[in-house]
Order: sequence, then structure tokens, then C-alpha cells
Amino acid sequence: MRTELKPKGLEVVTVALDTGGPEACRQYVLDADAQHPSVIDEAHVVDELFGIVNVPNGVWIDEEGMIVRPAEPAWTRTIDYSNVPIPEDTPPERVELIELARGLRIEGDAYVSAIRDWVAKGSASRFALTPDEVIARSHPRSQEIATAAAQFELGQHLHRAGFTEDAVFHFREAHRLHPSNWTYKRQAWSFIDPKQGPTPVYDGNWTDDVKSIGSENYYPAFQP
Amino acid sequence: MILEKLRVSAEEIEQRTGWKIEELQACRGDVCVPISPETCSDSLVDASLLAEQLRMPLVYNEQHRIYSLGPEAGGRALSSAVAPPLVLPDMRGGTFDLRFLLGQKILLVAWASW
Repeated sequence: MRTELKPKGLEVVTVALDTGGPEACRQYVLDADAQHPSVIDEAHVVDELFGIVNVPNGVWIDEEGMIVRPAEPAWTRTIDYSNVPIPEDTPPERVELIELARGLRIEGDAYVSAIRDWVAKGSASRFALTPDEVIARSHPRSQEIATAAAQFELGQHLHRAGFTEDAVFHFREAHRLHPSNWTYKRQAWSFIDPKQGPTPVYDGNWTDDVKSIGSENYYPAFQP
Repeated sequence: MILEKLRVSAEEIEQRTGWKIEELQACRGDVCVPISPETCSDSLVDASLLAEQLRMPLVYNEQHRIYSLGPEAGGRALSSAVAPPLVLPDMRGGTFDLRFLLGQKILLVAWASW
């Protein structure tokens, strides 16, 4: 997509939200042979500044530095798992995962078409929102959500400083205060178990938490 | 924003939170909020006074003696559509500054290895 749209005036910047540091994600970038600016955000600053609660998420910024679409799921193509078969000998926990994946909403085609439209038409594109719409569509920020951000940052600061056990209290607080923030949960779970399964350290895990909201709600629908 | 002391330079606050703290007001993008004269003097900000007035949570870890200043509460994650300043290390060991890309359209994509 970048190869097609870069000559038309679009630059792509990827930001890795990885408290594990560059080591955690460098291989992915090398494998992708990234030509665009590729940035590392160990402190999850971008989550807070732009109101990002899950990945992948995209934000559109115009030539003047105005946000014209706030954070929303950003895929390069539509992926439909709804017909993924479940062979008879599949272990039960795997069956559960496949069933969840079947419901995931990955609407990349609509998203990429919207980007193409914006690149071609600029502010006249129906996908480019007004400043008021951008603010209104950005994630809400209650006292609990703001406090969760402070707790998460304290947790990741301690984790990076090597106090991984002391970090857990703050990660748990972030999860309690902002349960719909998947970046807080997935980052912390992955420190204990890369597969984000059940652990004695955290109350939630990917499978159970996604099940509780319904996997069709994990990535919100693309809103023109 | 992680703080070791409650007195912190206005420059550091701006770099991390986007809020530019002046003598009697705090501004970010096109939004300005009045602040009391005690909040900022000689470019040093009293983080607890600022936190109170901007409704920012201030969390303290006693054992490690560090504070964490959260974003302003109430309203939405974006208080303005002006993109906040963003300076982060890039994968090649350099520094990325969002300002250097202005003049073109930008698609900022957040992802993770986990």
C-alpha cells in the first residue's frame, strides 16, 4: 500500500508499542524490510496521546498536522476467518480460539479504500472528518481511564527498570480501571505468557476476556 | 509521565504531554486552560498543582519513590484535533519527530509484537 500511495503524498509511520524495547519487535521490522519510518514506543506514549486501546490502530494526520481520523482498527486487507474449519482432533483450547477468531471483524478492504479516497481528494474526502468529529470520535477519558494510563505507565516503567514483580500491581490497577483497553492487558499478559493464556498473576487472559465481550466486538466496525 | 520529583521543567512536561505551561495558562493544540500563578515559576512546574487544575491523576509508588502523572480526565482522549508533538526513537537508532513529516499526509499505525 505504501509503495502505491507514497508517490501520491502519503507517508506511513509504524509505531511499535513494546515495553520490551526494540529487541521485542526489531525482527518483525527487518522481516518486513520496512522502508517507512519505523518507531519504537516503549512507554506506550502514543496510546495516551491518541487514545489507542488496541492494535493495529491507525490515525490519519493531514498536511497541516491536523488529525482527520482518530484511532481505529487499521488493516491492510480484509481477513475472514468465519469459515475456518475445525478438524475433529483439534484440542479443546484450540477449538475455543478458532471459534473466537471466526467472529473477529477485520475490515481492511474498506479501510484501505477510505485511505485511497483521502489521498486522492484530501479534505473533500467523505472519510476526512472535521476537528469536532475527530474529538467526539476519539476514545472517552473518564477519571478511571486517565488513572489507568498513569498506573500503566508506572507499571511499564518499573518493568523496564527490572522490577517486574513490583510492576504487576500497577498493571492490575490499569486493567481494573480500564478493562476495555486491550493494549494494557495484552502487553502485561504477554510478559507472563507470550500466548496470553491464563496465569496466576492476572485475573484475565485473551480467550476469556474476548469471549466475555464477544469476538465481533473486539475490533469495532469501520465507521465511514 | 514518570516523575522523580514534583518540581519539573515546563519543557519536559511539554515534550511528554504536549501541554505548554506558561505563567497563567496551560495550552495544547488550540485549547488553553487558566492555571494559578503558583503552578509555574522560573519555568519550573509544580506537578501536583498542575494535576489538580487539569484533572490529571497523580499516582505515587512509595517504595520506588516515583510519581506517574496521567493525562487530563474528563472529555475525550483528544481535546484538540491538532496532532500532539511526537518524538520517539526509531528502529535504526535515530530520532523520529512527527514534525519532519508535515506537508504530506501521514498514516500513523500502532502495532505490537505481542
